Amino acid sequence: MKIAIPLLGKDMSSPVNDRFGRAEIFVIFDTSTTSFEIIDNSDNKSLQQGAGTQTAEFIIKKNVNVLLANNVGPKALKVLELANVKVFRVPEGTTAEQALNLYNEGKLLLS
Amino acid sequence: MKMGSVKLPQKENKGKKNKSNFVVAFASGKGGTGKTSVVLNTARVLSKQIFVFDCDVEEPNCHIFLGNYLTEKKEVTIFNPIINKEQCTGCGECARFCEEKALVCWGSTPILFPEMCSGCKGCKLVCPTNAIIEGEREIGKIEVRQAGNIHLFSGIMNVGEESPVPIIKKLKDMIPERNISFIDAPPGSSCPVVASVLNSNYLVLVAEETPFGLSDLQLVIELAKKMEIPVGVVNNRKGLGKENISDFLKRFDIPLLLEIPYDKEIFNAYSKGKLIVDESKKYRELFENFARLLLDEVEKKAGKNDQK
Ligand code: SF4
Ligand code: SF4
Repeated sequence: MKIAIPLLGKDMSSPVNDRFGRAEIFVIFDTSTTSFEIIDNSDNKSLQQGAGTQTAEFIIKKNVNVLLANNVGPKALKVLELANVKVFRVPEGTTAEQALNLYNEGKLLLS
Repeated sequence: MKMGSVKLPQKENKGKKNKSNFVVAFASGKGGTGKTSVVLNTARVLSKQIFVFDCDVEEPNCHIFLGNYLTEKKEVTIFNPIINKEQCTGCGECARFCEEKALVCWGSTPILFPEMCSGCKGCKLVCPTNAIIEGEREIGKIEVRQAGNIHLFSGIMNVGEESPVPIIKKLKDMIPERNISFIDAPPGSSCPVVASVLNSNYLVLVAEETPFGLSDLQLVIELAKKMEIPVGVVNNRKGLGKENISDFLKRFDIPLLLEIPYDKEIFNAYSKGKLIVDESKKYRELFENFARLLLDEVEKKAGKNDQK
């Protein structure tokens, strides 16, 4: 299973970016290999409109199953829902590592 | 150029009938400069039929000053793609093409966010399997009113639409030939302003002498320069700010066409939904002079442009 998280920095100790569509960096964590990959969303970040939906498309194409994020707009949420990506809400200021732990412990709520 | 220094005799105007077919746009760098009131007061004192297009389709307000003499109302619709699932292969060509990012596709039938679609039909053209068929979507309305010599066309954008540009374009399709038309552009200097001002023969910028006002003004001046449209400025509410607009305009070689004092009388008329030229002789004269000067400027400068 693949879990995506929008990040402010480039490693697992960076905090979650609270603006999903405008996040430059995403981490994709693969639970089967416990490895992670940093991906660059800067093309979508600067879009005048549709940043959220394009970012959603971008991570769907990476075969992500779960998104951990703080704030996902209604349109992006619709796209993710249609692609069967589960979106969980993480508290503001959480780091990627903490978010993954919270998710594993079943402490996050669906958006 | 000083206000009222150029007087254009009526006769000359009548003589060049074909030349009096032009479009003057009115814009301002920011909201709240009293642009609408300048547009309508000027339109009112012209002693001929005049067509005014309210392109501030998110918040049209010209009609407030003209009473409610609605003569026509129609829906504005644009192309809306409908995707035939049977024929769609999910190739994503349409979504890659769409500049508005209204289509999202990741391998199955794309999803459309209609409120973001500008109706350009590009997706239909690029679809390799002809899976996109032509639908229609209402994006707003156009209302037509007549009050005295003014024919007003107002665009009204539906709530929830993302872009006012399609409706501005539809509105401008209605600009008549062989007449003078005024365009009341939305505030700011973004896409809707460009769409409103595009193809005008002249641009009047309504400004105020505050530091903010002037820096916003500069943005629109630069925009007009790029669009190669000649510009003149109206200083509304003179005496409100401390900046000096004439010094500022000299730097750009732009004429100051009119200065309107900051006067309670104007404000009172405005807040009652009245035009000051209908209420006060003093201001009627001020606007008559301005209208003459403006027409003269337009003929002079727009004429130059034609010869290019
Ligand atoms: S009509 Fe144009 S804007 Fe609308 S979805 Fe198709 S390509 Fe995009
Ligand atoms: S271009 Fe045509 S076939 Fe390809 S995804 Fe779009 S609608 Fe489907």
